[in-house]
Amino acid sequence: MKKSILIIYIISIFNIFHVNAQNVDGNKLVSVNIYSDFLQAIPGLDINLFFVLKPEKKWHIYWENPGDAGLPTEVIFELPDGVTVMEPEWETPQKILFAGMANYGYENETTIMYPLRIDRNFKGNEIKVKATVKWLACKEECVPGSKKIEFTVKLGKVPEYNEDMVIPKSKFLKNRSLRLPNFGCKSSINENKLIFEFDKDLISKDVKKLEFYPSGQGFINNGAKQILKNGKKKVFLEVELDKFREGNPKEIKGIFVADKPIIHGFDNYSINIETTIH
Amino acid sequence: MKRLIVFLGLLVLCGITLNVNAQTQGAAEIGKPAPDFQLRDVNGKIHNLQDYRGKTVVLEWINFDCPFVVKHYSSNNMQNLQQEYVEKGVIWLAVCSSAPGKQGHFEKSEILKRISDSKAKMSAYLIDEDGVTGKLYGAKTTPHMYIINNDGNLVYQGAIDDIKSTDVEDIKKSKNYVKNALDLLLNGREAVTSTTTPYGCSVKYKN
Repeated sequence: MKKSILIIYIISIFNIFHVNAQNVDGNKLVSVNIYSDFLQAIPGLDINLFFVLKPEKKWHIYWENPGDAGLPTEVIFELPDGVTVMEPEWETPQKILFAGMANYGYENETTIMYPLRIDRNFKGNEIKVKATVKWLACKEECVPGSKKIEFTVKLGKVPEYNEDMVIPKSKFLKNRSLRLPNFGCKSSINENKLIFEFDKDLISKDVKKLEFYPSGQGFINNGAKQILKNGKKKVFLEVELDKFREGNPKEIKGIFVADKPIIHGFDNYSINIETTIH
Repeated sequence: MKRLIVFLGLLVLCGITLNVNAQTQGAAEIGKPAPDFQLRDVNGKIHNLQDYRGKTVVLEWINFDCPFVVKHYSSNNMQNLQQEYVEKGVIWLAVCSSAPGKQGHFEKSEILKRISDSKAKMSAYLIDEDGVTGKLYGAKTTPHMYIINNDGNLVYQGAIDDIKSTDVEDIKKSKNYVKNALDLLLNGREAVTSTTTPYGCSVKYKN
């Protein structure tokens, strides 16, 4: 009798957890805060909005390319006429491996930066920014969530920098991918392999591991091991392509991610790459 | 002794060759014969892909708790597709590769309840809990859709439609790749789009 009661008790406890796991409120799985690097802006100035997202422990959200599953985190803006949002910048994502596949995302707090351009003829004494942040949070299961945020940026005759953002902004600039206009590499496709080739002296000698994360989905085998080969003057990175890819791309966009700061003189572990395939 | 070494060498070579063949021949490829499989359905009936030669077959990777699958079932989008094409003679096989203890893996009674509650119209719900068939086809997400023509060749793999979201409202704005491909195939033509990038939750494989 005691045994039966114990079994029933265990089963009911299991069921409670099972039901709870399915009824997770996705809107509460990620905390969202928004900051601007200017407390007061002026027409004609570009300012940056920082969306700081923190998933609950053991959950992750996704980069602009989620990889083999999931959805990119996105921000949908409602802005007044005369204010435009530009391409966001992301922190370097983690590669989350599972069952021979891979996702690109964030298990810890991350920041997405959106530059806003204020037209020089913009009239008014403030800018009201309405934004909806949408994400898919996953661990074993996946749950969509969103948050609506309103934020006001004052407008005046003199710009006023937000001193509180000095440290968070420098942390973000270190964690994002570098953008260097003179960083170039060649790329080619050989059967089922995408091969990057670049001068050895472009990359820090401390780098032992280098990987390519594409900005778009579906053309590389995300879970496959990427091979870094050192020549005398050149470095080659071999990336396996997805056998179900929708044709070969003509241009490649993404980031190179290293195990050490990737370029001499910079703290960043990743660098943006945009190249035409030869 | 020499004969023994030669014999052992041949054995090793055969082993390597068989292993390589198993890996390379097994994987699904567009335009090639779809890899055969044998899976038990929720009622215990065994389904062998070869038995459906001469018919168009749809494979739909499923996990009833995945929000992307919920999107297509709560809107009746998937059931409507299933009903329309099963009535036209298509064999529609839902395949669940969720491992025991992982999301989407259910006992028989729960699967039957889900099918009944959602009024799903698939021809069969197949259980692939060791994930062998899922990996053979390279199934990544739920849903992940495959179409096999009546010659047994794989003619489509990828997403159900072109709007990657969990939002039901997006369905009416989307272009349904599976519907387009099936309509062409059933009219004796080839699918125009043979491969797209699937979207959804990851398939909850054992490892």
